[in-house]
Amino acid sequence: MKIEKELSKVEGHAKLFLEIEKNRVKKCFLEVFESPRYFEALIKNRKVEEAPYFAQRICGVCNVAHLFGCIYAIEDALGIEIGENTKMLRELMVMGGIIHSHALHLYFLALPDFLNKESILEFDKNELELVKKGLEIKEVGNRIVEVIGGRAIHPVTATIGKFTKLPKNEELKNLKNLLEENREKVIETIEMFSSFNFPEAFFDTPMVAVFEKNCYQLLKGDLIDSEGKIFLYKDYKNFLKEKVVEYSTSKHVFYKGKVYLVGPLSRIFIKWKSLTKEAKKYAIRQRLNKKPLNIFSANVARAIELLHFFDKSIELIERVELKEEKPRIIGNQKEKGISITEAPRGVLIYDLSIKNGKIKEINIITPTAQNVAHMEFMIKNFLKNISDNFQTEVEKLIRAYDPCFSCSAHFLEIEFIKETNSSISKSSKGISRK
Amino acid sequence: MKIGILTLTSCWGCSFEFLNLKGYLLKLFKEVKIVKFNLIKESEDYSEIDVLFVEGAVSTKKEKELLIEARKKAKFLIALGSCAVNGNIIYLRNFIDERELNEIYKQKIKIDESLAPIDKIVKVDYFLPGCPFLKKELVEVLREIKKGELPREKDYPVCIECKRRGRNCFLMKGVLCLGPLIKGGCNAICVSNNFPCWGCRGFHKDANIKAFIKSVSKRVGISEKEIEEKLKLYCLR
Repeated sequence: MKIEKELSKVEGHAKLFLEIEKNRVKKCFLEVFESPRYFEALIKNRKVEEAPYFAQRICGVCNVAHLFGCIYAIEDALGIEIGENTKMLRELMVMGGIIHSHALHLYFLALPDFLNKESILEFDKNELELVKKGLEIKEVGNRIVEVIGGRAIHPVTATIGKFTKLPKNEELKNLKNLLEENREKVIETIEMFSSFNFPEAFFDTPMVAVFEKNCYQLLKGDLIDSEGKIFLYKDYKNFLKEKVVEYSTSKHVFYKGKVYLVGPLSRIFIKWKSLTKEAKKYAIRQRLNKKPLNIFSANVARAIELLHFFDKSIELIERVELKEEKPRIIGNQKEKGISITEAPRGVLIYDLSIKNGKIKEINIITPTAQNVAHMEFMIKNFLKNISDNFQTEVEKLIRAYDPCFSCSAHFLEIEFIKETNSSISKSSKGISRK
Repeated sequence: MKIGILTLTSCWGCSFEFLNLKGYLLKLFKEVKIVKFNLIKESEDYSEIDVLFVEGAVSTKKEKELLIEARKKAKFLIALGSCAVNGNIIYLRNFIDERELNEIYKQKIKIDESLAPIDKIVKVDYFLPGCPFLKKELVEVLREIKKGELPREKDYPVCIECKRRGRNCFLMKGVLCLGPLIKGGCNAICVSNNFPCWGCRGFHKDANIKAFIKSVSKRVGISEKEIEEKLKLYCLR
């Protein structure tokens, strides 16, 4: 029996192919048919000031992450350092973006799975109350980005070295009120997702996150793995490598030769000690700081991150001073610039070079592109333990990664039974295209 | 009334912006039937639809076919966002040749269809430009359609809204801003945030492009080439 199904409730276009024989999955592959837009080619040769505007349009939900990923890589090349308050405003914006993304995923994309409904459009009156709650939490994230960035999706004020316009004190005060008013809903979100029975999909692979000492770093840092080992951001290529895998025709990214996970679950496992007080309590209570981890717990991790970001945002709003800040030039201008930041879905790497005020080359490694190998690995192992409803269960598993296929037009193929003359003739070599 | 969103080549930002409709969204869930919206529901075939929003540009043969099929089933087909309306910045892909793509991606890239805004393929009943589109314009179009009508197209430049918001003109300060050529309706959102207009909403119907390029280059000191490069992002097609 062959099943071909377009995935829903994920960002981007992807299709799942399953071949089932005698109640066992014989073949399974995920085809990302999201049309690549070739951003690496589009951004090449554009003026440096235009690059962030382009980069954020890679993705409609993680545009804030791409915006700052690009900006920080450029600032790295040009030796620019931003002021403390600019830094805080950027952090607020990034948190706003993640709040929006997580709330949307949890309530619109994941929740139907756990209420056994096809989509939120099938929710009854009580269940729609939950959607209303999700919308309100999501709106807090949007407001943060809008107040500081000028617009919720594809914000306009964040540029290289500074903001084109600063928010008003009154606006930040209102944001703080909005955060405080909706905080209880976030707690309810954690409790709700912690109460769901997840299928078992345990794993013991390395995990990677962004590192900066003593904080739950989102913007610009080095890399840290689940063993606590730290790597300088400019050396990322020594540890994160693309490789052609023998059973798959697509290139995957590996950490020291192994499959690895990025995202909220990795962040909490590695950096739980830096979570804000109450978020930390939940992380410990839900055992997200201990192995073995279940990939489905990523949703609990998202909910806990919501609380952390709410509390951290309130803290930052109290601390930030709204004043003009000029960036400083520290160090020499280099041709190359690299940044490693946390997008909602995990580690995002921007690696670019500048010549004569234009982008000479740019490579972007998105979190979903990094998780694709992990997804493949987990689907293989997961399918061994289930005996029916393969299609639905695999979809749920893929959804647990909150994949963003716009960011990662990529091919993925898994074969369970080795075939001497491969009937899968789809060729999908090369680096991930966006 | 049945509505839906068909997503072609895009960043899905307009799908996300649709979910930012807040209270209006919940109202919509109750009042209309959403038969297509890949982001939040299973992809099912639908036989007919009253209002289909199309997000994204057409960049593959498959998308071309999908769009043509969708046009047959839709009473009103509305281009949602700049990718669908004018191709957006991804339209620039048409100026990169395959050899260069092969070099950058280190694999053989084959482009089977040039990237086009959707009105190059099907008849479009209304356009909601913007990157992303303006929520209030979407609300307005749904309201008018319920009456069996479509809203009047905005026929004034961004400058009107910019001045109304009390901004000082970028062009007067020697910074390139496309406002005078671009269709208003966005409430000058970028310029009010001190970011000059890059034209995501496309030309308004009386835009005098030649005069703009000539006078801006002469009086503001920005080269004609630079102005044209900016116009190529969303407008010059």
